[in-house]
Amino acid sequence: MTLLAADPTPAVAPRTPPRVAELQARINGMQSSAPPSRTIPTRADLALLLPGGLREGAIYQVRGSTSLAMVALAEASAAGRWSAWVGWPQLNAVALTAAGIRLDRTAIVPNPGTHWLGILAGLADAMSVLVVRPPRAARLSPGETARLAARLRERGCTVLVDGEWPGAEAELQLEAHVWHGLGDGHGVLLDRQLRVRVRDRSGRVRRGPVGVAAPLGQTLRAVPTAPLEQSAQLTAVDAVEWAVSA
Amino acid sequence: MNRALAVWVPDWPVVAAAAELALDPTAPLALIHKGLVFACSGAARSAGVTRGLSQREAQYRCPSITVARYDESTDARRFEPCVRALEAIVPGVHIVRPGLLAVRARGPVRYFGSEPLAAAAVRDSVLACGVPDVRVGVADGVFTAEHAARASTRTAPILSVPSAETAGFLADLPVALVSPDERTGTLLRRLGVHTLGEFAALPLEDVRRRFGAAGVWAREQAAGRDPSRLVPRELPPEFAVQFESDTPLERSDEIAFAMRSYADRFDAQLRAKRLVCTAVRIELTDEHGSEVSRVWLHPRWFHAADLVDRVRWQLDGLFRAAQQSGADPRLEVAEYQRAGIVRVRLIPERVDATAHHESGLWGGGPDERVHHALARVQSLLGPEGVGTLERRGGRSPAEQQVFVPWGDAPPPDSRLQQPWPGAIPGVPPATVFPTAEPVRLAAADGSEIRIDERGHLSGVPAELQLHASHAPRSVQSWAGPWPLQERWWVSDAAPARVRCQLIDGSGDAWLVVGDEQGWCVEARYD
Repeated sequence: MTLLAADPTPAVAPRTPPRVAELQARINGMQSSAPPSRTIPTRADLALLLPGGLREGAIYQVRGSTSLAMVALAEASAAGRWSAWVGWPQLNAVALTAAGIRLDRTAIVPNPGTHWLGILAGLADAMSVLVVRPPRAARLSPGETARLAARLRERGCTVLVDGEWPGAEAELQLEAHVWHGLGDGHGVLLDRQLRVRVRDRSGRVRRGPVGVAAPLGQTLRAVPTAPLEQSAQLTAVDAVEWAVSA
Repeated sequence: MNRALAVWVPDWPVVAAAAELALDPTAPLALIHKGLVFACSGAARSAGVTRGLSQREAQYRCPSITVARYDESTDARRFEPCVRALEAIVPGVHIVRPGLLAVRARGPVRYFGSEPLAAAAVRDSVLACGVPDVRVGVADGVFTAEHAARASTRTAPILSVPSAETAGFLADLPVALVSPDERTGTLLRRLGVHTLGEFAALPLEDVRRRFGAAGVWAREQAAGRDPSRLVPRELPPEFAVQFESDTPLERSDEIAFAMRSYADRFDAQLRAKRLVCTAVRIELTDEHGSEVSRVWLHPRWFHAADLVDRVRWQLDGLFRAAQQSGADPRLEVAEYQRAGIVRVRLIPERVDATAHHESGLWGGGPDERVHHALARVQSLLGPEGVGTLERRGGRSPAEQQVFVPWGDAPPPDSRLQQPWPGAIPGVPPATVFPTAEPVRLAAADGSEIRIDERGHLSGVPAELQLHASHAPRSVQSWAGPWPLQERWWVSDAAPARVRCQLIDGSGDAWLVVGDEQGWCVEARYD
């Protein structure tokens, strides 16, 4: 009996050990969470403007900027998803890489011509993100758009359209560029920010800045120098050194 | 002992290249590999050209020399008829390298009666393929037989070295012939070992301690005990499929339709051997006998439908090229259409075991879906219709990338790591115009900005007009001019140019390039 008397167990013992409580909390957390949000990986600054990020199987209008489209799919591409650019004969591979897009997972259809809708439907089976610039004269009947939208929803393929698209999930519009690094006769474009306006289906408008990554590094040291005058030259070099140190 | 019979065609690379390029093999001719003479014809050799000379030195010694690039595949391909000719009379032919064959002597000697008779028969069979000179050596082992063939002369083209004389025959040859690498060869010479005889006289244990297993192997060869065995080649099975039409066919869809069953057969033949084809050569022959061939690669492997697609693309390209050439297009088309296609051959260039391409238990994964989707786009738009971008080195944005059609191998030399002075650092432009568009860049007083010969601007850029019909945009900020000097060593190169970055009033940024003619917009930062 002495043993019992010496029992160090406190009078109010926790009913469940902490490990069990932790596991229970995790189960509760998993049960209570909303159905899995079906979004593709989206950059944090863009996800602020599009709550939750870009949704799978939805159509977005991206207007006024190629860079904005690159930023929108960058995270998904970096995560290893396939994307295709339909109708872009003038893309720059360096800019794609700088935005964080994997070139080996990015297919380009430079000139889809009159087949563009069929190509879009075919690529939707395999690609995670499509970036489309419809031909100028493209006219779509409501039936065609509805069929395509249904197919995209079914396949979970996100489409970014540079142009008009009825019934788009949201419209991303470039309002202004904010440039850094270029002066009056000196400097070089070193960094930029996009001021983006997003209007969703319900008409709510959000505004915010979105950064575009620029490759800083050894390439900056190779600034060609032959500006107008000596002072300008110095400023250009200063700007570059600032960028390298930054 | 292991008697071998070596068949050697002197200067084979030259003979092959002369036949390939329709040159005269008796004229001075040198084949260049990595800037050095790899092989040269007899006429060039008598003028003092030797193997290992630099191209310029060879041209200096023999000004009338014709120089061509050495091509390994030509060498091997042209040698195939000689191998077949020899195989027709002797089984088990071992190809040491293009230009040198070896067979075990025992069989032919017993069949033809004696070594000289067998050697003569072998020599005649190879001579019959139109080779100017063939030498035959019979000796113990392939190594000795090869050098016996090399030691023969034009008047006595067959040399037989009896077994007892093998070591004596080899003794005077230079030691470099057996040294496993260049370093060992140099080392042996420095140690005072110059000939095979001297090398073979070294104690075996010492050679093993100093040079290891490779050295022991070399010493065995030097002593005339050739440890290498003859490995007869296995006859490659015939997979090529040929379609022939009695009436010349003039339309690509006609031919593609006719090809369908042949493509199926091609596919079935390979599958029966558990092989898949990953590269195919398609040869088209028209009724005048001219031949167009091209190799097509596939990112996975060719199905029958893919083959038909490739045939169609090649025909379309051919007909388009025929339309574009010539001053009078109508005449050319009519001319070409009369020259219909009479023969199509599908030849597998590269095959692989099916096991390497088997899809997994749960299917091939997303990449296979991607491939099917892109291949379908390709069959709609043609091979250039879809592809990927690859980065490469360059100064202007347009040079810094290359479009690789889906399924093609990317160009091997990207030169991405090189410095490229003159490339613009900082933010890369998102849009690059494939051909630079002319624009007007003006100063505040409306005068167009000119560039002087030192690359200075005549004024401060204030207005950018993208197109004659557009309103001019005001320039907010700008930088430059950055000189761009390329290919100044070529006389007809483009004159020196300068580049500027501009931001216009609406916030758009542009990269413009200017020369004496005016300004063009190269890229847009949009």
